[in-house]
Amino acid sequence: MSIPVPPRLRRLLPALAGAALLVAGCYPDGPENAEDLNMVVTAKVPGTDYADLHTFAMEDTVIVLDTGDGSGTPIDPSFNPVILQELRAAMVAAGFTDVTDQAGVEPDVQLVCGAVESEVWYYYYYWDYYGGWWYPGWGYYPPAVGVGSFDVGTLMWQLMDLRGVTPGVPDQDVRAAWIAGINGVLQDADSHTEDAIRTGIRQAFTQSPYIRAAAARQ
Amino acid sequence: MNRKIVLALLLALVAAAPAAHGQNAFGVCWTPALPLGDTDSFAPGLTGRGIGFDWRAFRSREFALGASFGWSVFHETTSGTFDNGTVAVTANRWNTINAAPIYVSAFRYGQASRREPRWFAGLNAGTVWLERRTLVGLLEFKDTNWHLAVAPEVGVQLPWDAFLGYAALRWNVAFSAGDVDTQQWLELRLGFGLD
Repeated sequence: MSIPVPPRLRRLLPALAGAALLVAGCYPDGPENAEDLNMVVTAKVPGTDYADLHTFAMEDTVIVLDTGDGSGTPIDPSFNPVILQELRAAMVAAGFTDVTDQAGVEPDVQLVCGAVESEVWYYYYYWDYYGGWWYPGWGYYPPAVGVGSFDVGTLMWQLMDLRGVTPGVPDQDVRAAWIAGINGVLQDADSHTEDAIRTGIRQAFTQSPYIRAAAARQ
Repeated sequence: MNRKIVLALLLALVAAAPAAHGQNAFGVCWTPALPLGDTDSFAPGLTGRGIGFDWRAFRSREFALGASFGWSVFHETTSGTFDNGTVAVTANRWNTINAAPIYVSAFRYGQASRREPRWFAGLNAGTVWLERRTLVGLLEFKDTNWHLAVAPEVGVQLPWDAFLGYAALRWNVAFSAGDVDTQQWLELRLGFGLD
């Protein structure tokens, strides 16, 4: 049995079908994989004299950052050596002298770093397309709604300015000279994540040309 | 308040139009668009993501009142370092504008017969729901406002036996609202129907 269609409406049918397809394809491209969401942030601290830095020291641990709501967990410990190794290498490459193991030598800056992993939950909603527009009954499956999650890793480090700080005197005001961090999706402990950490740390130094030891500026 | 006034006018027009003696016409169109001004700065480049719906009530052969609504999407993906001198961020960035105009309109038509192309010109006025969204890494910044808007339009109604129904050029100007400056885009409307 066929249903008569007024001529004017018949002319509109292909347009309506095309319009529906157009709308379905209207949502623009966004992040397509986890790496797309990685972010490197650095901040210089106003008032800091970056021209007279020579030496640095650093801790041999990656502390667990406090997320404020207790939801954070330590990152996979297998990443810690990668983080510390890459940070030290980047500081040396920037011309700083590592005096971590030199007793009695006060560094100009102390590098401290921390990391945390937290879970991000999201909701998704989609209509699944099941047929061509020319096919009778074309359209979409009923919408599906669900929740998912992924782990977000954040690594932050600071250079604490120790110039003018008197060793052994408690409660002194120690200012940060540089704050940097990388944020993104932590996957399993594999080479991809390690590469992302190394790349992120190098990028932080690249986009902060003021973090150079005095010797490297000459 | 402005939005309420515009919507009230739209409802009044929709209610009044069927009383007209002329015929009603409906059209669906694809609306590729070129962003201008601040819109172009935020999400530059021609976009093919757009659709429009037009309804016109002919009060005489040369004059029609109507309504129109649509949806246009402007989008840009960039990657790089954004540095303001103190803070530097390296990330992918996705800028998206979703714009949905809701207009009432008035059009003047040429006097040619339906077997000939009929030129028309008119003005659309109303509101645009506009969302500007920036996604940087895992951070999202979104600004959504209702903008008062006008959109002058010229076009041609093609003969009744042509494959395409009508083609028009519409300049959308959505005036500043909230923290968003005036947004503009020029759209080509290629549609079926309206005859």
